[in-house]
Amino acid sequence: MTPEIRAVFQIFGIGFLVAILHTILKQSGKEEFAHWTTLLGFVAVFVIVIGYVDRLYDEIQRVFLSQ
Amino acid sequence: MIREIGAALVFVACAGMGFRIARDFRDRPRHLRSLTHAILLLQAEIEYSVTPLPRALARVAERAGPPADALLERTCAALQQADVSVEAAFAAGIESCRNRMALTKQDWSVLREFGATLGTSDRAHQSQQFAVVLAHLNRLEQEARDSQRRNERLWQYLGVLFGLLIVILLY
Repeated sequence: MTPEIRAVFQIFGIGFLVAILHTILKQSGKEEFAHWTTLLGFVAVFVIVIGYVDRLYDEIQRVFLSQ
Repeated sequence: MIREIGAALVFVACAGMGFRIARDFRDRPRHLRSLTHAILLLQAEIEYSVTPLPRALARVAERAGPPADALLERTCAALQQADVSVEAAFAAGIESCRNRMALTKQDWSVLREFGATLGTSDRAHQSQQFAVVLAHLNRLEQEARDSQRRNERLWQYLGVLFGLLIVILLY
């Protein structure tokens, strides 16, 4: 499994679990915690994605701007 | 290999924590019920059989179910020592059972208040105190059932899901 595919599955899993957590917390009347978890999941995914975007930009720079 | 073992450990730890917290929510109504039952027995011993307090405590401790019997047993044992007030003996009993019962601070303070009134007045006043503590315990039990319904399942899920989340994040 390449790191990229692993990241896709990781993000999928995080999204899935955060969705379940949100539903469960909301059902038991803890809405503010539900929102915090969602935010936390969002930030976690963001951190993962930022690494890849960083690499993407480096790659673009390398391909187009490195005369 | 080490990775899998670590992931399993993290998951089991988180799930275990969740189940541990859920167990407290599940046990609290049961423990309160057991205490109510024990105090009813104690009331019967004191009001109808007119048993002296140390003997009454010992007899109720024999008949009451766990975990309330341990509390009464400890209180009774503490009472056997020379010059100890009932209040102090009851507090000692509470202190030694504290970690084994899933009760909140509020529950303990109700019990401690009851212990402070135990054996300080005649029978008529004592029966009022019994009524007060029983009403208190019933209210607390209602509340405990309510919070069990809301929280028990929630904490089980939370533990498992957060375990999975951490494993996925770190894997």
